[in-house]
Amino acid sequence: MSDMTAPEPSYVADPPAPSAWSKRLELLDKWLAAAGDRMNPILVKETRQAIKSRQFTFTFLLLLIFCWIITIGGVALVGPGIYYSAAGGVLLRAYFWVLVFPLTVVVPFGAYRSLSEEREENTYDLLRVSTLSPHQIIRGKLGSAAVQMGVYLSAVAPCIAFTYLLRGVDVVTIAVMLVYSTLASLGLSMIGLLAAALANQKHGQVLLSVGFVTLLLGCFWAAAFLVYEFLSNSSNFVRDNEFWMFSGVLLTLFVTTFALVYLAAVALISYRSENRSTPLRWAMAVQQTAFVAWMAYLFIIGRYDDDVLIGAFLVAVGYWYVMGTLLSTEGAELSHRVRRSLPQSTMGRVVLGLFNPGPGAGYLFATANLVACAGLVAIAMAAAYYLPLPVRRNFHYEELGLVLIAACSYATIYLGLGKLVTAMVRRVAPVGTMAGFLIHALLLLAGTGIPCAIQFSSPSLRNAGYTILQWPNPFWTTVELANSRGWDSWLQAMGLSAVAMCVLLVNLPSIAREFAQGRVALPTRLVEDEAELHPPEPAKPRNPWEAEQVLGPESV
Amino acid sequence: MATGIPQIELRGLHRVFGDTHAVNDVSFEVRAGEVFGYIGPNGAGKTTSMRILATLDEPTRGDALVDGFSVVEDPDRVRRRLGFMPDYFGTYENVNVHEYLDFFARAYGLRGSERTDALTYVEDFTGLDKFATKPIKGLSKGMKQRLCLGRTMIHDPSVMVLDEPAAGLDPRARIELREMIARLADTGKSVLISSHILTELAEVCDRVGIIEQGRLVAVGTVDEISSKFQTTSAIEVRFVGDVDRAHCWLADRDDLTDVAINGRNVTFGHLGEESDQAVLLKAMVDAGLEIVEFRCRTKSLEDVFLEVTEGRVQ
Repeated sequence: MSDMTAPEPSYVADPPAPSAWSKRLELLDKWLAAAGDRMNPILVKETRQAIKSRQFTFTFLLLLIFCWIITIGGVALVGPGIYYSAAGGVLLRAYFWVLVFPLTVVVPFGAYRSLSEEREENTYDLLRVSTLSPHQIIRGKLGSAAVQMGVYLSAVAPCIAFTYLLRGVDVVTIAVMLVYSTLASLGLSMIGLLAAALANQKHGQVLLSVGFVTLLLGCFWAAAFLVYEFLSNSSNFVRDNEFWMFSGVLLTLFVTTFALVYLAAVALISYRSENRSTPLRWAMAVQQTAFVAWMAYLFIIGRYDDDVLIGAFLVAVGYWYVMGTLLSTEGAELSHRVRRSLPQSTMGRVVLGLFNPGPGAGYLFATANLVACAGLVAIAMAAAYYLPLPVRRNFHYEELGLVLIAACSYATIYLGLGKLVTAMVRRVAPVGTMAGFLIHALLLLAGTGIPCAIQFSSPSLRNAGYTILQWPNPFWTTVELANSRGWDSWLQAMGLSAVAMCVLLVNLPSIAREFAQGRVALPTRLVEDEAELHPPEPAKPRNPWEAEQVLGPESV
Repeated sequence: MATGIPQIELRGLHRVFGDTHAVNDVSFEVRAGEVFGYIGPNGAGKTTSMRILATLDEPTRGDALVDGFSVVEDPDRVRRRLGFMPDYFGTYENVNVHEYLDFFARAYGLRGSERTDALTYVEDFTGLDKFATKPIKGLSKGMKQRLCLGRTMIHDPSVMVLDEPAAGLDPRARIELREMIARLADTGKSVLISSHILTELAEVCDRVGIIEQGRLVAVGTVDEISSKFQTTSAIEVRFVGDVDRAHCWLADRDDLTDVAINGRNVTFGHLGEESDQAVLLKAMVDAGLEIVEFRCRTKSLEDVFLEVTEGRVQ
């Protein structure tokens, strides 16, 4: 018998070597997982939900069906003419009419519902107790709206490419329309998120829902009309420099307003001790700077006259009055959290103090910006008079000067009085931002309406035209001053600025108190935690002797 | 987690809604690894104080601290350390169990293997691993409660605040939940738990706080509170022989109240300490009463709760 024994057959097969394809897929999977890790959690969650949602599938299918109907119907109607006629424009118009509905209604309303549903389904509290920041929440919701928008656009993309092949429409027109509709959809989605952040009560949500849907439907019809207008005259628009300049102004306005609305939505869902005001003030300042820059550019190249200058200034007055009503009704007490990051130096406090939260700083911020606008208009007037600009203008200097003084004075007076009244009401009851805004609005209404009511109910004054009784009425008085001019108008304007100075002086002690607030030290526990989270790096040796001490003799 | 600092600390907490003082000067501490029961009738202010702790509401006055961080001034640091389970589910449409937990893991900043490990641990701990692909809408109440507990602990918080976690659960699910809470406390987590089912709390809590009309009326172990508020001890004595004679003898004494015959037993209330009970027992024996059993009934959390609170609501 031989000692040699046959080896035991192995019944366990070796695992097959992974193919190149499976390796690549594994790598792709890992790469996608790593990319998913970097994405906003809300975006990931909502995309997962959307893929399974019936509403999204239904809307998407409906969009596809409409596009097919238009394509087949369009081709059938054009018939053999498709080979030589330029039918692209007509079909593009139809496709855009189908596209603007999801872009201006479905996506923004979806963004609005997405945040308000979190409140209704009690999941909003779960998001708030997580470590997601308000910025991440809003960005996630906005990102989800953008993804949906991308899906709708990609569904229509082949049809749009088809219209280009049919001729009659150029790439620039298509690009302009796509950019405009995408920006409109993003902007409306952002407004939807702001509206959802604003309404934390059931009745408020219902009212806002109705209002927002009405706005969206209005935007849809406006967009449909603009698509028609633009495609009918696109060749004129695209070749016109004015159109591109207008697009630049519009884009600046869009970007700065978008940032403002975004920061407002973030502020609304932030914890109360957070500094919710400073980022908004920076956004306002940037918006004003951009607005002024455009106005200055257009002025220098001689695109407008003094009536546009007055119009632009009055827009700035309206803007800063509305912003001032919101800023000057903020709570006077700064949280310790905010005070930890206040500027320390006197210079820093003076310059950056305007950007700190608080009603006094808010009041001063709004009036200072308004006065700055008035100053810029005055500089423009002087430039028009002294400098050899492309277009020599015949400005109504007196009229402009009176409007500047009257508008600035009235804004200072009404904002200051509103701030004082709000502070007084706060002593007996809590006053929120909306209540503060109402106080300001009522004050302005009283100042305008009561003198008018008295004058028109008095038989002797009814037909007297402008009287001294109308002094509290900012609208009539400003118009009257601009129209009448003369020494008495200047006297009246000086009187108004004196009153404005008085109101500012009355408010000054509270403003000074706010500016005097200094930085507070970080709590010990916070310092300990910071040291734990970010331990200081060990000091690097500066010479061989130090290296020996720190790293040991072998390091030298 | 810093050593020596209470994990939860309420300092003179007040919360006013219009005319209602929902939380009125509430102060207590919870140490690391401690399970603290927060009990009180409906509308007593339990949920309000818990919501303040979870940074969902703000105190009108006072402060609440988690691991030394103020919920008012440093809510972001509090949120990293705290897991809050509210008394509602808060679930999403078109999401399954795994996706739900995955979302919250991402929301708490867990990335890569850290997230997958946390998900595996939590699904295993709560027994949800078998239901990972099941849609949330199809889960039973007990399973949803497990899911919510899983969500609360996904980021491994050192402090857990559980508002009525056992509400609406069947007995088996309650026992399982109790076991899970005990296991969490064993891992060093501080747990603040409110419940109406007092027997549940008695078994799992190290200490309790009783709140009524926004005021904290008692804090301590059940025994401490019981002895603090106890006026009489309920005593039950079983006799052989003449029960009526024993009843008459006991009824004649001034330090006993509510003497009553219950079969061969006589029950009564006794004013005094345990040493006084020993003196009483000796006196009974000396008086020739034939005693088989002498028992001082320990008070349950339910008895203490009823004794301490007056059933007032605001």
